[in-house]
Amino acid sequence: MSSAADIHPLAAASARPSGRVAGGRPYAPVVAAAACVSLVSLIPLGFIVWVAIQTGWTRIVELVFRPRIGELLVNTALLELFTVPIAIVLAVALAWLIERTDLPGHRWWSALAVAPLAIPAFVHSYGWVNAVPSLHGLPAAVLISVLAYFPFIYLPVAAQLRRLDPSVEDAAASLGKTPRQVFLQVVVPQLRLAVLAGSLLVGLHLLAEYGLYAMIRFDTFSTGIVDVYQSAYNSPAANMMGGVLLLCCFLLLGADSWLRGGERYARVGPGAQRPPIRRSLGALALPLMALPLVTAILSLGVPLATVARWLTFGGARVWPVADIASAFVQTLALAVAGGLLATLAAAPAAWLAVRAPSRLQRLFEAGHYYVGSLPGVIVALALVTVTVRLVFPLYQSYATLLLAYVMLFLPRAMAGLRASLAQAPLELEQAAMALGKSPFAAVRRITFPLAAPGAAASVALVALGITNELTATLMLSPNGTRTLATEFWAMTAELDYAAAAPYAAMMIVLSLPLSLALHSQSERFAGQ
Amino acid sequence: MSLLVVEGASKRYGNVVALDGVSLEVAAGSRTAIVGPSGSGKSTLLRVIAGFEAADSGKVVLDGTKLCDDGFATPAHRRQIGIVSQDGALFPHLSVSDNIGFGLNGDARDRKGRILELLQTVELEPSMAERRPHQLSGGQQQRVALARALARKPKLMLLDEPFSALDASLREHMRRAVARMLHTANMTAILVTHDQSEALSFADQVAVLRGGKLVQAGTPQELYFRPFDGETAHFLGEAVVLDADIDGAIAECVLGRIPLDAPYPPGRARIMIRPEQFSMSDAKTDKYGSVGCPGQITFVEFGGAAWTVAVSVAGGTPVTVKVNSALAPAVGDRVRIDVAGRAHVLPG
Repeated sequence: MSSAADIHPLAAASARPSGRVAGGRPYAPVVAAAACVSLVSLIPLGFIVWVAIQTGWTRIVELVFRPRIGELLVNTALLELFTVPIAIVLAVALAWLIERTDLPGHRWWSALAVAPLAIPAFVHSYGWVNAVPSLHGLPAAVLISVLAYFPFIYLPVAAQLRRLDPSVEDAAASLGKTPRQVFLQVVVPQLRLAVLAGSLLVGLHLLAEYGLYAMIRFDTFSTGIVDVYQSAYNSPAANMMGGVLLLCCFLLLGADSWLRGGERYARVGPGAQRPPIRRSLGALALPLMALPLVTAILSLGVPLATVARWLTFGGARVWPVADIASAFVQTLALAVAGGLLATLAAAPAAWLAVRAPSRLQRLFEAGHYYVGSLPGVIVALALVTVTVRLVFPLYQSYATLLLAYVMLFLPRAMAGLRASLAQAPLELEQAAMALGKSPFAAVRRITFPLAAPGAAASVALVALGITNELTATLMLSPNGTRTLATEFWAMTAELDYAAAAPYAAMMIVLSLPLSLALHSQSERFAGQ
Repeated sequence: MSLLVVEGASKRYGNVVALDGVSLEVAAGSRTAIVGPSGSGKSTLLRVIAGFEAADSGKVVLDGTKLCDDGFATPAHRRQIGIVSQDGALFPHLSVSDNIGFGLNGDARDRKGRILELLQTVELEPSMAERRPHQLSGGQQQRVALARALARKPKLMLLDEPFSALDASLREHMRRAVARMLHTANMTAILVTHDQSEALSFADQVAVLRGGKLVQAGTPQELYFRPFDGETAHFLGEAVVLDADIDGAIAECVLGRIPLDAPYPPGRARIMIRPEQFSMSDAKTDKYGSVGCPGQITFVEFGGAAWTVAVSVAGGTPVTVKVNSALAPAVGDRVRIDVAGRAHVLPG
């Protein structure tokens, strides 16, 4: 009987999206809200297209096909081509050592491999410029980029290594494969999606980052745009460079989806899974421990030592308490406001994604995610132009700055909210309704309390991003805005590294708990 | 008197017909089981009754009140219908007593007494009241879910595969316990399940759904021994279906002449016999002087309480027989088969 049931056409009915209320009314207001947010997220793209049309083809050719642009393009491409592969090798090697061998103290190494995320990229740069003043050019850019961004690859790869079903490896071994062959033929292919996801993030950060490269005077598209913008705001040159940068982003996104193909992460099956096999390193344990140790020294030790050194050298002089307190309060206010706004803005699309998946909803979701992968400079350029041309009162206002934050961190808010809404399945709401609660009361008493912790986490994640955001803040903030990041930047621009140190320290102290929380959460998600 | 009347309920999702004109009546105080393979529309029917989905057409009437009719549907929270779902759907952020009291209004003292009373009804210790759902076993969670649904004294209780997440031994125990609790509470209930044995042992009325259509409804015995067609017969248990010539109340088939449960018009037809109706004896020793149909054993399988034995009778037709497990049948043995009780002609 069961086989007959399996092929029954109605079996498909059980796979339908269960996201409709009685009578099949779609959530019209929610759809409208998600559509609005998606439209707003199209502003940067629309801006570039509009500028291109305004500028005209001959002028575009004139502005784009210049030696300067070629130089920036080569620099950016070389940066990507060297940094991403090195970061992949480092991250996979670390993840394997930490997750799949009996390396002593693997829990500590795991936390240390994620901790560099708590240090803003431009603080990494600051650390290295101070430690090795002769560092410059492509090698310096690659070195610091790898150290600042490899955790983006380490996190998903380590999670995937923990999640892999060891019985598959047992099967390969029983088919006569040596441990080495098992790793290369069975484990590595299953890491592909995790490596791709992390590499895309690294690639996009390399395109978007301004502070890191400005500090070591390595010119990329982002630094080039900010330079042009600062000399002559709203210049067609800056806008056209923004257009090329946008194309680079789409190139990366396209390459990622092409490499990914039709593959998806395998669903983790129910039931307890055996813990993964840890290979015994034997006498190699100590020499191999050098890898995580050296990585931690370079990625954490160097920036932290620099900050600590300047703090001790500077003494009380570098602690103008009133200034630091005001920057701290402003940063916190902007971060919390931005976090709340981004979470609110992401809520309709996240709700639809969990409760009423459809083609339209996937379109909204794509809009929400694409805008977050744009560099801060492009979002800032677009908002500057739009406010100057259309709504001048909003030019250089906090509203515009917060809008930029919402756009840049929309994907973070989406991801957190989706996960938390999934904690409150429709069945529970229906159970509440069957117990006599109106739909509104059911949402208020069941869904809100269940989704609240996840929503709070997504507010915190966005706030963390805003705390360490530099580029858009520099370009958009109203006169007199002093955040930790902009103050740090102003001090280093005057080469007053000692005065910059307290701001760096504050940013690290604010970010560290969140980064570690993220790390332990990813361990829990992997079912360990 | 019928408490619930469903009339011509139909529902489609795009091109997929989930319910196709289903009509069903449920008597007050009775237990009905809706059974069918996955995708048969049984869950959709339950959701239409509960008010989580609206039927495209058809009526649902509860206790004389129309719940849904063309283009009109009472929302779920105004239906006075309780539901217990597969995983219990307990609110994870509330304690056991807050879960049970979720649908209760009224002052706090009343509420506490009522919650304790309900815990007692579902045979849980009062000390459980302050636990959280994740501290309960699967069976306990289902008891709490039932208590929570009973709290509002609904007119009808819907049970959506409530035992399927439990392991086999607990499942049987819970099924009996729930039947007892529903009886104590004098509650009319509808159980949806894909497990035929659960349906047959739990319900006063069993309704078989297939492809969105109601195939047959009746008492468990009626459905088991007098199924409408072969598919239903096989769905509800093992069955031997044979071609036969009907002559009044006698069927002539490879097993010989077998009495029918009712007279049928003469002609060719298909008859059904349950394997437990057969008895088997050794053809050589033939201690019981059997006059049964001769055959040879082609397959044996030990199943604890009984052997499942396939016997090839005249013309090579295989017949499945359940045999006392104390015997020792072997492949190749020559045997005779007798039929106890009556055969049933499949009308469908």
